[in-house]
Amino acid sequence: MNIYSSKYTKYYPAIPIALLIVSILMLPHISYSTELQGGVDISLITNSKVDIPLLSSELATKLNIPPPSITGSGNGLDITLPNNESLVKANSYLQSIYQYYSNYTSLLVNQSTLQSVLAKNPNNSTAKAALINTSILINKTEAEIISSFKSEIESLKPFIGNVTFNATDVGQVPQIAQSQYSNASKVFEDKLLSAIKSYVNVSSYSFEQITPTLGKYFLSQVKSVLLASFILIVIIALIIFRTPVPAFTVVFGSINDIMIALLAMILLKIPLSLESLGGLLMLIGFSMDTGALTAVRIVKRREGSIEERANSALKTGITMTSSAIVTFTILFFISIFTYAPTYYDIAGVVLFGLLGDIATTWLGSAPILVEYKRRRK
Amino acid sequence: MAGKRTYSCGIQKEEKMISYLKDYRIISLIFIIVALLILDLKIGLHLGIEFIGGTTIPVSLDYPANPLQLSQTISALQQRLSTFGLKEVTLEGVGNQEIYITIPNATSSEINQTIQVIESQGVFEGIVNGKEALNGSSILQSGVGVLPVTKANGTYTWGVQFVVTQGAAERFSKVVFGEANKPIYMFLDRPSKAILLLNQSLLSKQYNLSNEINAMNNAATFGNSTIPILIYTNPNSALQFLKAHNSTYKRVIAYGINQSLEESIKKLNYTLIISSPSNMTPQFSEISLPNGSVELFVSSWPAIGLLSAPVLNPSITNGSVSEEYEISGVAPLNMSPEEQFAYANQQAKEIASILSGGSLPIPVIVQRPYYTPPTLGKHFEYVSGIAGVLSIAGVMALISTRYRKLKLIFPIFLTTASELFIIISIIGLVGTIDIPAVAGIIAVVGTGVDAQIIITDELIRKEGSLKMRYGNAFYIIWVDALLLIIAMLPLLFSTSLVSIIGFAEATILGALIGVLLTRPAYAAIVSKMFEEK
Repeated sequence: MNIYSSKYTKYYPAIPIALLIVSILMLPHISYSTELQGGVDISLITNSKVDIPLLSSELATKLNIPPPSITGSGNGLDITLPNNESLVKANSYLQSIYQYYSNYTSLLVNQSTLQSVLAKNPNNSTAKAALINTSILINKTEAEIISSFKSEIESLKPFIGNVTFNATDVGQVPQIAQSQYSNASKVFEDKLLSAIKSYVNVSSYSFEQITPTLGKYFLSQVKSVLLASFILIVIIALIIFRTPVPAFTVVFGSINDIMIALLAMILLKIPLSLESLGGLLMLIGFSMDTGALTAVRIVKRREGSIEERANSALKTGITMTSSAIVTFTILFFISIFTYAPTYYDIAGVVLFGLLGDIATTWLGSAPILVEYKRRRK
Repeated sequence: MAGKRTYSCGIQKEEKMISYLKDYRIISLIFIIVALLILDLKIGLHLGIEFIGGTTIPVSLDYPANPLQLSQTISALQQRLSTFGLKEVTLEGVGNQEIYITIPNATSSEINQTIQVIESQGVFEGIVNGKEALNGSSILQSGVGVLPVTKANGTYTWGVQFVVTQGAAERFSKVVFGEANKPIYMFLDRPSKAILLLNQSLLSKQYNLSNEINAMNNAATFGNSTIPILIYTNPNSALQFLKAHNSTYKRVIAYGINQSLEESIKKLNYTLIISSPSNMTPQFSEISLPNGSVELFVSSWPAIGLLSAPVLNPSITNGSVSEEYEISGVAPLNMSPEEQFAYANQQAKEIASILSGGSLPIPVIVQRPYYTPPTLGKHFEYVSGIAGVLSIAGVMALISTRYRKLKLIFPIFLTTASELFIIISIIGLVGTIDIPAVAGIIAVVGTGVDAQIIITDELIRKEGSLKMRYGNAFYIIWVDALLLIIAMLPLLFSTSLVSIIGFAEATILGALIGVLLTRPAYAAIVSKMFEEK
């Protein structure tokens, strides 16, 4: 039985394309891990029995926040909370303070260089004008530093209370601003931990706080890296296959697999994180294996008919994908029974990506290549 | 007849075994495995902190750095940390404003010590006539600049410019007023509450002893922080002073004292700091005064932190206030021109470094360290192990069933296991096995299995010569490996996604080892296995 001998072969690609369209439509629903969007991640080991929904709502009431997302199995819990708004604001003021301060020191250096130039040639009018300009900028920057500092302290009020600072030497501001921020973060962490500890016996924990700026940066880097990878793949595939259609099916195969995996992530509520990113990258490897196999066998070989070659490629390819599916199904179920969210994320992503790959390669790429080869004859 | 056939079958089996071992692909594989095994046992594998537990200390730079500044800051930190013997600390730059410092299995004292080392800056003091003229906070970091060495009339002059804050400039001009041609003693990490115990034999005989003593006392004077210099020929004479003052002073700096003196000092509750002869010996310089006399002063004395003593030019001791200064000097004339040039450059760099307080190119702030408990990690090892074993079993079952040849179980197991072993060994020896590396390893093994299937598929067919089938299979395998390696390159060279670079490294390494080593070996085994068929 050769599915490629049927007259409906050219309609097969409708299925993977339909999946692609669904994923594109659902894409806005994707969630991000704390590393990528900022937030607070508390992982802990406990030996008490925990009712997760109950814990979530108790923490929500006690801390006056929306119910945090909690996952766990075995004796571990993973609690994710959004960053505290005031801390986020304070952090952005802190970053501005640093920015202004580095301008400030450069301006001071300029000022003194100009002053010494004027000391040697008092009639140098350009230097005079520049000096006046610089002095104005210095005053302006000082004012900006002080006002950012005031705003930062204001934002930190919920944590450090009402603190006032006397007219401080502007040079000291960055250090004081930083230490107040660190104090406030510590207060925040202690508050969260003690709330958690009143419900759960915690034997050890890790606390990670990512500010949105860092997360946004990671995310943009992730996107650029993926884009760069695909561009490179297209170039190499064009060099190897010389004609655009096979190169296109190889690349399209990978992209489609990733989109289907993203769809699965949305449905399974797996967030986009560094681990799931690892899974997506793995998918690139697997999908190119099947993609290259299909393209080479159908386009470059000559034995037997086109359909026969396609069918034999299908048999080989499905064996390849099945063995990977076996591996990742095992990993997926093991990760559910033991506390290994990393493996759960990776396995979930790859498993569904592979299932999608079967559709993409054998209902999408292969029929396209078969038709292409037929037309070339 | 039957007996004879069994006999010849026996020889065939033996010959076959030998033919396996003669294949260069199989030989190379065995060789590499054995080599790695030896290295693993000798050196051991590095596991990431997710597996063995550890602490990450994030460090933020005061402002974004360009790649050069970032790597300079990282190496400066690395040097500081290594002088404290903090073992196995890894530093990686993240983006352009963060550095992550990871310490596996860190004790809380190690963490605190690390943070202290990172946060400490060398303390700079510029002292004139026993009063502080400059300190670290006076100087604007970005304003310290090394001037190019100039040559004039056969002398090489070096210079360092620096800029101070306005308040500091006023104070400086007050302190140096009237001190023309006197030295400004520049200290880095001047010891506090310390007594210097100097054996007279270390002093040079070049000058008059009382002049030398005078110069040394001048250098060590600084209000309440004056360092008493005890010059002794007989150690016991020093002990009296030490006994009398052990409530005011805490440290004794000495060299070459005998055991009993050492014990006596420690009994008096002093901390004893043993220095080296070169550090303990003061270097003297002479300056000719306008009235014709020559004055001796100490120009360098590392034991008390005195690293340089440039002389104050009369133009700045007349009460004028300036925020920009220049320290300059001339290379000694008794050196060859090349030596003078090198000396000048070196001096300038050292002075610039002192003025910057021996600090980092960009100031850093230490953030809250966070800790991954090993209990989370031990779990992972266990889980990874089980998953690995079960997967290999599953794959073996699948492939043997699909191709209906049970014999395939052996080559599949051998190949997959060796790929796994080789990758884990290389990454563990040269890098760290962390979670992203594990993900990469899984990917590698997965694509390895794909390759084995492709090979088996081609070799089991009947049509075509062995050579052609082998070629067909490896064409696809090379294309696969090439595409995978190319796809991983952007990640490998990314400077910001450092946490998952381990994935790219593992995948690329695995792909190379696969195409060059393990997959040819698999093909060799399978083709020999089914030769007769």
